[in-house]
Amino acid sequence: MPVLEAPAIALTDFNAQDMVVDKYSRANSFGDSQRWLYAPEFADIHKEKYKRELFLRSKFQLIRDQLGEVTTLRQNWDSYNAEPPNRQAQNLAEQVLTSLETNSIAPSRLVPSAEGGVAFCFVESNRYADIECLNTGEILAVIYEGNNDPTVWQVAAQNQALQETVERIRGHIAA
Amino acid sequence: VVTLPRERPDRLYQRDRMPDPVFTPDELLFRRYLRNQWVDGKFASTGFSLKEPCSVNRSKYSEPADVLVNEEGQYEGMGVLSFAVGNIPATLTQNGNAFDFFPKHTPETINYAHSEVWATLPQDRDNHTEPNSAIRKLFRAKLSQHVSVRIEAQL
Repeated sequence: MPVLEAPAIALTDFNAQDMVVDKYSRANSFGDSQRWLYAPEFADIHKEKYKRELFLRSKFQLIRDQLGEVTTLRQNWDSYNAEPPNRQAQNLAEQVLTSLETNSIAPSRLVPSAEGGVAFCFVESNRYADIECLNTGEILAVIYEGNNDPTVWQVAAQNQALQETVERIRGHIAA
Repeated sequence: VVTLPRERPDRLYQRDRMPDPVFTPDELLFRRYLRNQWVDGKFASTGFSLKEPCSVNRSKYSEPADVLVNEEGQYEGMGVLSFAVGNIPATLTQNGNAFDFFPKHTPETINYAHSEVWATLPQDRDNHTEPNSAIRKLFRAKLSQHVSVRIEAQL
């Protein structure tokens, strides 16, 4: 007895489980004489994956919106004479964001940096991490848990270095 | 919602008072912040800058709301955070480069409580020296671990 194969889920479609049922209905409506077994476990797996992808997509859109917002900041936006993010910091942030999207790790929020630039912040329980893209063209990352000593490192604006940083932060936040 | 006095409290005027170099570890330092500098209950370390001396008010001579006092209402909606003098890392070293950090009382005519957190080379404590970005990042992260909200930001 064939088992209904798991459907490929398009992000534009809304409900994965409905798609499975639709396919089952279509198969029967075409006069398929075979008896199809409805396999809800496939639907559940894909529904979760779909929901996760949908969540990530909306989260990344939110982060992109926040990136757009911080680029409108003016000099002294924090009342302590902070510079707004410049074009160099924005370009670096786009590069980091692409790497985060590729690796499906969404920041909690994007914030402006008081040192001039922008930062992607990650918070999970008492674990904190950020990747800061500075107006100087530097990228710096930090991780810490609670009041333990933070670890800081510089990140080269290259795919491999960004990939390593993203993985390190994923490991820290998910630990 | 906190209603802020635009009028400057009398305690803030320097008059003939000299700088007071004595800070105890439990003395609090106050600073303004914006709501978007907090992320899920944690103060983002990027909310501090150490490119210049970090401007604060000391609790020995002021109240938290005093950092929001401005005759034009310039700071309305901002919040106030605090950290203790004892939370400032005394020394940080990276690649053999050491920097000392400490509060310095730098009164202004209309704000006697004004102080700064300085970074100096150990052999030259009379001048703020900007540490490299990695040491600044470490300092900012360590300080942000000890931040408390005194007045919640609306903006």
